[in-house]
Amino acid sequence: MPQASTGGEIARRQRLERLRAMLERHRGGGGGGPQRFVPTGVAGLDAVLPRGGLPGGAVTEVLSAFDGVGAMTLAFRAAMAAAEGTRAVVVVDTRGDLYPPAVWRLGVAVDGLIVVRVRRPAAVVWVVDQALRCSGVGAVVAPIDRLDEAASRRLQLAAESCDGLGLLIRPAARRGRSFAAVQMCVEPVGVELSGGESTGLNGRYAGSGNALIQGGRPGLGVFPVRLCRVTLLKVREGMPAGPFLISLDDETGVGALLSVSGDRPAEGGGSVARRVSA
Amino acid sequence: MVVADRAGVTRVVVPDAGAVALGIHEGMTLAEARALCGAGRPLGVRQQSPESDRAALENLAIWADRFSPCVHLEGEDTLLLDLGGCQRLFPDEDALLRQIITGLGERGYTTRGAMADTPGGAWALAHAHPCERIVAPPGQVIAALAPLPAAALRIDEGTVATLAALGVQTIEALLHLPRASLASRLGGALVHRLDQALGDAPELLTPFRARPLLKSGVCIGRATDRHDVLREALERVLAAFCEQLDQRVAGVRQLFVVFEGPPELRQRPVTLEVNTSRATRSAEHLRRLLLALLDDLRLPFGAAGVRLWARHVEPLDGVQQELFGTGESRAGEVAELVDRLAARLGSAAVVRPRPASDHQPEQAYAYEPATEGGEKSADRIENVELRIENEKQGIRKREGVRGKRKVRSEKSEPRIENEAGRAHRPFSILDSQFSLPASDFVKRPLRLLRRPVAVPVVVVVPEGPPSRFEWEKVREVVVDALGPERVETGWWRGRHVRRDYFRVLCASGRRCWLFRERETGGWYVHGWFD
Repeated sequence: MPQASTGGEIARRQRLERLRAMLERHRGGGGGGPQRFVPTGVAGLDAVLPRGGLPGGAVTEVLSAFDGVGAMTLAFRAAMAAAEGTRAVVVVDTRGDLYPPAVWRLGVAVDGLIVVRVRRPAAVVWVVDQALRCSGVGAVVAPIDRLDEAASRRLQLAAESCDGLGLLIRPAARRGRSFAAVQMCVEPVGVELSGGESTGLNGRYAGSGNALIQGGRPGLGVFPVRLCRVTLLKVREGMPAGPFLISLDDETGVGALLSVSGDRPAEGGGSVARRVSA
Repeated sequence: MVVADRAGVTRVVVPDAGAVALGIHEGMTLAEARALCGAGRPLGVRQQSPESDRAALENLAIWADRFSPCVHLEGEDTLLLDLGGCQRLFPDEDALLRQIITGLGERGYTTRGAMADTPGGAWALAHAHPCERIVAPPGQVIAALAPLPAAALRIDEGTVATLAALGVQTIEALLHLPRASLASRLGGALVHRLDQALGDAPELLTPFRARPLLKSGVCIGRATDRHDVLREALERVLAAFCEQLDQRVAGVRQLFVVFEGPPELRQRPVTLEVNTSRATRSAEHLRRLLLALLDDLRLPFGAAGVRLWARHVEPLDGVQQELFGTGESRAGEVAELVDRLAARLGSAAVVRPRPASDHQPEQAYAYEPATEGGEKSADRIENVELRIENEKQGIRKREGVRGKRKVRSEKSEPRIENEAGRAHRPFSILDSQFSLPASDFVKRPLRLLRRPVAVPVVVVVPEGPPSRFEWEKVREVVVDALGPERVETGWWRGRHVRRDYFRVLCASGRRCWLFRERETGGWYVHGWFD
């Protein structure tokens, strides 16, 4: 963000940088290389996160309100960016319902996906621990229900030994103290119908984004664009922020930040709505 | 039932008893066999694997070592034992042959055996004589061989056909032909075989020597099941083992750890198998794998000895460790991770998905075990006990050579150890064989339920998406839907799948993948676009 640069400002920023570097050294993280930051793929969200992305060598918790919201999509997009095409992505399948073709469609390399099928929580924690310590693994994605503090700390330490990205997907009801570096809550965005109707489709179902729902204009959140509300509950080196309204386009894979306040952009909100309705 | 692919067509090689009862015979194509079997009846099919057949034969040769010091592998299914000089130990030849056949029968093999003065004669009697067990009295091999067909002399089919055309059916008739002209008309090979069978020409039998095993072991003074003692013993054994590997500049992919009980208790030793996806001789890596195994180990007895052995070693050059891991060493690290996970959780738990060409969503991928270590066969474990038994029997003395008596046994129903049908590729994400662009995959939900769940729906438009449905006691109102996508497939699997899929957006913001089963009209939830 461009600011008025006076001498005092520059000195202040330099001091902040020095303090930040000192803090990092004290924390002693990193696996022998510069810490990397993995973009989530949603441009606006990356701008809000400190250093432009999720921290590698740390655990990010994605809290999801319920299924079908979009938490796993976000997690896999980050995992794909972390894998950089050459490293493996380890997915822990606790519920037995992972669908690999959908993961491939998101862009994860076909050959780079390893799926570990375990159910017992203790085994899941062990698997994530081992995978995070491996330098050939770019990201680990694991849905975990219960995670006590000791296990959370253990996973964070394991992540710090290398620069892999740990992504734990947990139910939002479990938000609480955690040792994760970033905690992100993903909530659904309800879709309203025009005219206060709530009885359904009225016969239009071959929709492709043109369903006339909001007063004659293409509505937000219908196919192929999905909306979700993301709140950053905890960010290391940053302030909690949000909720942000994010749109993800299924067809093009483009993610965009729609509004910083979490509300819908106003009717007729120029470029934003047009981008969505393209 | 064993099948093999020949010239692009899969044919039956060995049908089992049930298959034979149905009328399936050797040489039939698989499609015919399936048709004979009938719909709905499962047909067990295994691919023929010459490697595992050979390995099984070698194991039998090791087992037969107790009868003779010289055991020769002939062809794919024959063992030739040289019993010259063993008369003092086995005075009754018929009983010996019976013992051998019974012993092989206990291992699950149907055997035909014969004993004769010459190896050729024994081979011929075992293959062609109507009896399953025959002993030709010493000196009377010609009389025994006379009624057998000429093909039993191990000659090629062309010569057999020529002989048949000439009207020579049996060996007796062959013997009547003038010798001088046999060589020039039918080839010297036939004459040579004939002489070998009759004892006029020598036949050399090379004894089978199993490849030297790599092993190391340690004895624990007092039987114990304390983990720290076992761990110490294992580390020492591993150090000695890795030293041997270093000396040979070789690596292993399959390792056996044997815990033996105190000898006076005569308990079966417990054997654990460790597979790695790549040949390794890294002591650190093997140590981590073995200690992971030790954590879950429950011994029924106190261990008095720990042994480590490996059958196959591969040449493995030293790899220079790089300072910053890139590329190759990263792939090696991932392989080690996979080994560790699989050692603890089982190789079925650590898998890699592969795309499969199928329209039915749940069949569009397949999981492959991520490790591709050695064959997991019961035969390998059995071999351990074999070795232990053999060592315990010690060295038997053979004295004198008084004539040569051969015993020959044939194995007719090979026991199938494993399905070696899939080729395993070494793990590498650098040169991906599957470099499919993301757009090749149709939009599918990230979470697909293993079985579609029936849900009550309210449908306003016939043939259209539902307008409401209920999932886990929550009523969802459908706001928008994309579809229908019709999937009709699977009729060759016996269950025809005809579904209309809809991508549905609910008022609460969730996105769901529903389908309507066209035959029954029922609605199911199949997945979530999470």
